[in-house]
Parts: sequence; C-alpha cells; structure tokens
Amino acid sequence: MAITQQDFQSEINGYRSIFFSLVFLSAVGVGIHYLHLPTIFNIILILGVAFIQATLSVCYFMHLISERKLIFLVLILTVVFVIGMIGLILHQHFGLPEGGFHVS
Amino acid sequence: MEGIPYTVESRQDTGLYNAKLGIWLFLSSEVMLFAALFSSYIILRIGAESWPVGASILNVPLGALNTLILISSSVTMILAWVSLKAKNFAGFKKNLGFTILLTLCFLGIKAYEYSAKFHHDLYPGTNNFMAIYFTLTGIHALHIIGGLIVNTYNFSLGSKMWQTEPERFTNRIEVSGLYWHFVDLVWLFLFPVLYLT
Repeated sequence: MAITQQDFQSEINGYRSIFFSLVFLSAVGVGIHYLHLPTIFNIILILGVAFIQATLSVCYFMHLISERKLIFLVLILTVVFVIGMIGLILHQHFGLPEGGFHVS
Repeated sequence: MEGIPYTVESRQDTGLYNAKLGIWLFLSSEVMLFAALFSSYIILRIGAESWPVGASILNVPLGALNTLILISSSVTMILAWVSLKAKNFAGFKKNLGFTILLTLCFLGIKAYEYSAKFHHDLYPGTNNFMAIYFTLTGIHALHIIGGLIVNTYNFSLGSKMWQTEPERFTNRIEVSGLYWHFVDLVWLFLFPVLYLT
C-alpha cells in the first residue's frame, strides 16, 4: 500500500491542480453573481458552476473516479431516491386540484 | 477475541474494506438529509410572494472566504492521507493540523456572521429566508463540528494506532477524509444557493 516518493509528488501535484480549479470556479461563481443577471439565469449558471465543483471534489478528492462499481450503485440508488422524492414534492406543490390552495 | 475483520484487507464480495463501504452508505443517508433541507428551501422560495436576494442580507465576501477555507481544508485533509500512504507521519500531523486550524477559522467566521445577524435583530423566526438560512447553515455547522471532533481525535489520541496498525490507521484517515470532503461539498452548494442567488 505504500507509495513511492515519485507517486507521492504526482498525487500532490494532482490535488494542487484540483484546488486551484475549485478556487477559480468559486471566483467565477461570485463573478456571475456580480453581473446581476436575471434571476433564472443567475440560478442556472451559479448552480452549474457549483455542480462542476462538486464533480471535481467527488471524482478526485473522494476518488470516485477510481472506485469500485458497488459504490457507484449505492450512489445511483441515492440519486434516484433524491430525484424521485423531490419530484414528488414538486408534483404535490404544483399539482393542486382546481379550487385548492396552499396554507402558509 | 479476534480483531475486527476487513479493516485492512478487502472483502471478496464487495472488493472494499468494511469502513469504506460503511462511510459511503452513511454519506448516502446524509445526501438524503441535505436533499430534504434543500427541498424545503425550494418549496419555501417558489411559494413565497417575494424572496430577498441573499447578498442583501448575507455577507458575500465572508461566505466566499469560508468557501476558500473549506476547499483548502479538503486539500490538507487528503494530503494528510497521502502522507500516511507515503509513510510520512510528520507530514500527516502537519496536514491534519492545518485541517483542524482551517475548520476553527470556518467556525469562527460562521459565529461572527450569526452574531452580526442577531445584532441586527435577524433571527430564525424573523422570516422564511432567515429560518432556512439558519437551519441549513446550522445543521451544516453541526456536521463541521462532528468532523472537527473526529479529526482532533485522529490528530491526538487516535494517532497512536500508527505505531501498532499503520495500514488500519491510514484507512481510518481515508474514511474520515471522505466525510470531510462531503461536508465541504455541501457548502459548495450552500454558499451559492443562500448567498449568491
């Protein structure tokens, strides 16, 4: 399991690249905010940047890119449940029968 | 009694040591928790007649600084694990020490932000935005504190395992790191959702 000095340095360089990428993307996200775009574009662009950051973090810091298939199965099941349940919530919110109203 | 099996060697059926599968299952449950909280945010926001721009109430530069702090702590956390893989215990101590320091900085800034809100009479009960802000960041902060406790243990008393079972200790740090990266990942969504949109 021990790694050589060369492998060690190579891994450090890799993580350093990911770090600078994440910092750069954070700056991009803040920059998009200061453009004062219409709300929907603001949300889509900023969350898009956040998604890219999350992907980099999961793939390289959490080494999902080299993980076993079982981990992918666990995560895919999780994502299916999350999307399904958010979908159910939004369906309930937007799918009111005629004459219905939300109580706040 | 024998030691706990598969703390170092992989199981034949899963191809993983037990703690790694265990932490991923735990993180899946955490995804469900935060998905429920983000769903609450979505419902509150789309159902509101008006919703404040986060930057008009929250401090974007401080939030951005906290983002930078957490990203840095993620890097030092993984460097701590890589140091152990390279049998560099001093490097592990240095990097995990930096992780703990950065965590304390994050919590300090968060405490300052909270106190500033209270000073301006902004409490969880003030409006829906403040309620979801305090709920989301508060639960996230509790996760940060949990990770801080684990990392501090691994830095101090727990590090004695390096003398007797170095490979098991390395795996323990890897698993702790996976949790820490997840907590950082949640903030990567929290910051833009609350502060920037």
